[in-house]
Amino acid sequence: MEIEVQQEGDVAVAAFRGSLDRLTANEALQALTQQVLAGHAKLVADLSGLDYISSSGLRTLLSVMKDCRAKGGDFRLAGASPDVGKVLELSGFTGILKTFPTRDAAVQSFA
Amino acid sequence: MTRPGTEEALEDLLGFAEGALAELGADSSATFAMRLAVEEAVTNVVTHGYAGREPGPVTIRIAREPNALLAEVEDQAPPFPPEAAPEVDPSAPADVRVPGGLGWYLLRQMVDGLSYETRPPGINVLRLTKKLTEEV
Repeated sequence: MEIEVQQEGDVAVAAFRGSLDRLTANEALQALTQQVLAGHAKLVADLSGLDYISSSGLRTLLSVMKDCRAKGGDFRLAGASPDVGKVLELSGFTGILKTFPTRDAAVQSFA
Repeated sequence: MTRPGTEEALEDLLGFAEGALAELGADSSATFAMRLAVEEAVTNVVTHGYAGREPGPVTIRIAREPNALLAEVEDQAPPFPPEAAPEVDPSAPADVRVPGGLGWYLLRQMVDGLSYETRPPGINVLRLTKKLTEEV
């Protein structure tokens, strides 16, 4: 699992690569929490490189969303594959987190 | 594969499930679904089943029939039949969501068949089936 963060205006974009599972969820949570603590509460997760997610990964996404909203920002998802998107949908996350087909659309949604 | 049901062994166990499923060459959605179901089952045993006691073993078996992926997860924790898992409301709004609790819910959604039995001397066997179809 790799997460690469880039700043686009006042929005931070975290690009995920690999698997967000029980083995990597804590590491991802720490990386993203660090972003929020550094003042980047407008955060986009670019999931286009994410090939797998489990309930541990969902837990990370939910925690980060709560942190971002508590700081007056938001955490939005972009580019999920059909399989990852299905897990987000089944778990009800598409009703809780704003999701976008592309990274650009998610970034622009903060404008 | 059999490993102790510990945090330290999770990397081996989950890595084995991922690799063994990938080798079977089923379509990516079915492979994804079974990997997720096995991860949730194994994680539950390690996190909850063996919590507060000396961890026993966890065994994972992966196989393929012509039209299905099969997986077995075996443990020696106190029996936890799937129907004992808490209900999850996936339509609950964000402010009442607590992180976690989705494992069994997702596991059930991912597979087409699920059976659970405890046989003497206290070995639990969870059997999972994921059908392979053209539409998947």
